[in-house]
Amino acid sequence: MPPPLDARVKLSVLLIFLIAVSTTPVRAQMVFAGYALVLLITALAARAGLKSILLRSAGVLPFTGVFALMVWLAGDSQRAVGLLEKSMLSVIATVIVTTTTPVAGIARALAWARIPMPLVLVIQFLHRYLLVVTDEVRSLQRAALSRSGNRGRTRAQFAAAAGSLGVLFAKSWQRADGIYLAMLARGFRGQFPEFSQPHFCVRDGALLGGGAAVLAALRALA
Amino acid sequence: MHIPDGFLSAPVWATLDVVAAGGVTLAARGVKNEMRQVPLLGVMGAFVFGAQMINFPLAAGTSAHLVGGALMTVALGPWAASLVMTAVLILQALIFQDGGILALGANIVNMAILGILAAHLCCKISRGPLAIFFAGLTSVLVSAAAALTELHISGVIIPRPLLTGSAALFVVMGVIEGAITVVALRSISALGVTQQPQQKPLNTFLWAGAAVLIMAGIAFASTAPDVLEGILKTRSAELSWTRKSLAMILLCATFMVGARFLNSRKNA
Repeated sequence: MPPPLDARVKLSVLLIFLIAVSTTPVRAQMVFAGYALVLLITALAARAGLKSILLRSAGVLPFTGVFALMVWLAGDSQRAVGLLEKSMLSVIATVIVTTTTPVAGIARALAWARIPMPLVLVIQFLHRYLLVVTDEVRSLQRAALSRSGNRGRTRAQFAAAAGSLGVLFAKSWQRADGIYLAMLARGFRGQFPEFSQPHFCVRDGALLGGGAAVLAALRALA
Repeated sequence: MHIPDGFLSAPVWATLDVVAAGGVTLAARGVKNEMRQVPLLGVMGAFVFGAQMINFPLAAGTSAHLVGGALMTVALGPWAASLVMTAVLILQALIFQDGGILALGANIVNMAILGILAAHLCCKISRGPLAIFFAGLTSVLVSAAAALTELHISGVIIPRPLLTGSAALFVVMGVIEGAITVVALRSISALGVTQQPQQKPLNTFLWAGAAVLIMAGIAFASTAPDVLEGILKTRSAELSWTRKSLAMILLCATFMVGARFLNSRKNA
């Protein structure tokens, strides 16, 4: 198993891909086919599972579909097709990169890109406690269901949902206090350590150079 | 309403990415005692995800959920709320494909900057449940109007009847958001969680913020004149640009004064 690729390189190539797709004029249909081929090769090389990639990407279809339909109704069918193609290509590329990159690596890349440190740290904390809080929501919903049996008038259900929200807020607030005390107990002195960046190796350079060259060539064809 | 990639034209997303980067840097500086706040803001971001899972039943079997911008503004203050919502949007784009990567700047400007600004202005002008209701309502309306404007500038032209229809839909969504925010804050204060947002004062930015919102309103009014004309019940199709913007400012002013008046009556 080779070492994982540098997250900075993967995100940079993703950005180049997204910019290329975004700036390609809609009439250049062959270039869009080229982009799709690039994505197919990348997905096969990453062994990421084509079916799961497509399923996750399909989440964007309701929004895209509604707007494409509206634009089509307004009489601009070429733009409607372009919207569908561009948004699907972009979201598939994003899914391929983000499902194969751990959030810690993405956070390191963000810190390297000079995103303000408090924001990077908040993103990391958010991701760490996401499952904890969503688990709590499920147990709150189960509790509300077993109290009321989901009967009663809409007004009562509304009040129960608001109560659950309040309890969730209070629990989250107290959890944050507990986390901070635990950090102090483990020797936190008001400074987070710097992120260490991974070593940039030949494979990363090859991916960055090769990816940029292929995408620039495709974009130039349009 | 998260804008995916592929919808905005390059000048629009590039400009908004730059604006969002500046705004987020400002917000990160605005959070006082930031290292003390980091775990709180992170867990609050997770709370926003969790809160969006809780369904509030409406009439006829439909349900809605909280967006959370106004609630975070009241609970944490505007700077911290902006930072939390930005973190939420970034993770939604990266993990859940909710909103695009290039469009991230646009979504941050719409929801984490303009939406929070609108909510904060409502809370500054007045106090009490009515102000909180309007904070929820305006945060949703401002975000939606900004998103529609950006799409319009990018060439995604929506037919007139559909535009009026979606404006009505956004008003309904805003009213629901306001109602949920009021009820949720009531149950939070009943639980007695201490809320002391430690924030740098925002007064110097307040008037600048109001100006930005009015500018955004004018931009929206000039791209979507039909909606505005519907509100003002004017039939003349040939309203001039300046008259439209004046009408928009008048509408905002009436709304703010009205909110204040209603609330003072409530307290008396």
